[in-house]
Amino acid sequence: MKTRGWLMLMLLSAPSMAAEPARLLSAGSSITELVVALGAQHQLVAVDSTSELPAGSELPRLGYHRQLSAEGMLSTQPSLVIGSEEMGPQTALSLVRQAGVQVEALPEAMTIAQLQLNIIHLGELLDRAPQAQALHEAVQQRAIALRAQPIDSPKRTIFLLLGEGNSVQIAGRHTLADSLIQVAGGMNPASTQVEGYKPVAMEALVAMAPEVILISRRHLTQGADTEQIFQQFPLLSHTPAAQHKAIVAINGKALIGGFGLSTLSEAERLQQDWLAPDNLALHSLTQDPLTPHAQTPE
Amino acid sequence: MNRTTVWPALLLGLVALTGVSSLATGPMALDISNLVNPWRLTATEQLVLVHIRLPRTLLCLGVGAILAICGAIMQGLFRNPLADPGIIGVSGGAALGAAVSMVILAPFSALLPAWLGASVTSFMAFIGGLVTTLVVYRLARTTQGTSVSILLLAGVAIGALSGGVLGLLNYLADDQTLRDLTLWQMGSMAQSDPYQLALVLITALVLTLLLRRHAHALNALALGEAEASHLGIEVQSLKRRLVILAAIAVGVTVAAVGIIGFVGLVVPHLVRLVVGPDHRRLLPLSALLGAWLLLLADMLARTIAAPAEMPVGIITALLGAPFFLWLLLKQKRGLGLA
Repeated sequence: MKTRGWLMLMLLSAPSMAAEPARLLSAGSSITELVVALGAQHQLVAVDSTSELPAGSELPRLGYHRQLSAEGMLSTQPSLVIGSEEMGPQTALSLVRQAGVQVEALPEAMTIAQLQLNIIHLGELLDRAPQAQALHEAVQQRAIALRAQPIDSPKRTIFLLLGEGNSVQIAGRHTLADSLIQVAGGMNPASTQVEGYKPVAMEALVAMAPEVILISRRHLTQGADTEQIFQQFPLLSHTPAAQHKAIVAINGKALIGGFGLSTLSEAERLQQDWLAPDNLALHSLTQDPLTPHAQTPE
Repeated sequence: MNRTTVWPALLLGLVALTGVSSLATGPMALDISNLVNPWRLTATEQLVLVHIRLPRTLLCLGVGAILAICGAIMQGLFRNPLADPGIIGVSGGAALGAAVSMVILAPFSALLPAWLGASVTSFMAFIGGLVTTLVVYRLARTTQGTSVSILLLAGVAIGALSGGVLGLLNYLADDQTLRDLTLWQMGSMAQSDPYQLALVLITALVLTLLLRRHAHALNALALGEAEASHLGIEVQSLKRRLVILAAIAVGVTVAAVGIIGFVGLVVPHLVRLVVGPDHRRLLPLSALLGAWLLLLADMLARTIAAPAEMPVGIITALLGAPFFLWLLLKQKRGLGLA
């Protein structure tokens, strides 16, 4: 009886002893974000330069995810390379495959539905189906909550990429910023006019009469405020957004590499604080629009 | 060893030494002693050595030599130390060709067979470079022959025009394509296939073999066009042949690795500072120095930020330009001009 107990114990523990944890290489910010959310962070051996890691963890950086080096990847001895479809170049990936490493490219998500598909696929790849299922459901709940807001007339919301000098680019359709605005329940007037990020004339921008203007947080250094932006782009103050001081700083990292969990968080914050039906009046009186909100993804 | 053999021997030794170091270094640690005994390498190490480092090393040798030789030829042909292959529009045209392929043809690449899909950009870059050069050359042809000044000015104009069209394509491109275009223009040794490598090496070889035939003529041209034709050189056909040869050769390198600046401009200068203007020595030594410089730059490019990799064009500029300036200033003092 005693020996059988030992045998059982050994049999039970055998698989976990035999299966060496995969050495993961992740390229693409939204993919790395999912790896961390699925609790597989300890398996990561290297990430690309767009990936953000939780504070305190340091890993070798492979460079930009479209410009990976075959030998650089192999030098970290990965057993699985995951990334978005944008990962490349193909020559480097095929060399890594030749070395016997599994390479998986997930479609770049532009929608929550694709994000959810990626979660499930990633769960299978990482042997973490239960965690993936749980995350999938959490995302589902959040998506439902986002859609549940009763919005009679969606707020006209635009995303601006402010550059040096007077250069301003606006996010049109097929951009992640456009997806963000839609998911948050806003309406992007630029999406009917332009595709991708395009330089835009101030005049056209004023004509769009945006009620909320989103900009990347990167463009605001410490101490900078909306006033300085109006100084740099005086015509902006002729928009409804300026009258309500509704200029919102967005985490720029949430807008690259596909719709990810951080994009979802930004959409929630945007909806709660800015796009909900009666929020604008409140904000124009009280809150500093640029204060970043602590947002913890569940 | 006398003065005529010391530089070639020294450079040849440096190239050989750096070539071996290039095989031995990289983000992946390899035991150098295993290079002599390849059977002790693991499968992955063999892959790294044979499929990654060896092609890169050969590519650097070929591309570096081609760019430097073509730079020397252009400078000799135009009797202008600022001439480099870019000046006749090759680089601009090639960038334009590549951009057309990435922005306009990319949506149709799914219709092409897979093996062709990857090389369409290279092919278009090559065609772009060649066509631009031919247009520039054609514009410069007059009843009295080819005018060097018109050739240079037409090169500048066509360069500006292709820059404009490139800007238009940049505007039309989506963000990802834009990133690709930018990275492609900085040049990288990482992405060429075996066919391109073979093409580069054959081009380098042919170019080197043709050198001897043209070195004498280029020396004569240094005296002036009239003087050269009195010496029995057919100046017009020489120009035509050399311009087309350089366009093809540089086009091949741009197609394989993108645009790598600086090598073609500066290497011939450095060589001339050391051994003088005789093309019989200038051309082969430029080839060696160009090969060595690019080897060195590429080694830095792939180890400096390992496991990431920098575009080698950045390194050639950062490495070479200050060195070049230093040499110039030293030369200035030597000439008593300081």
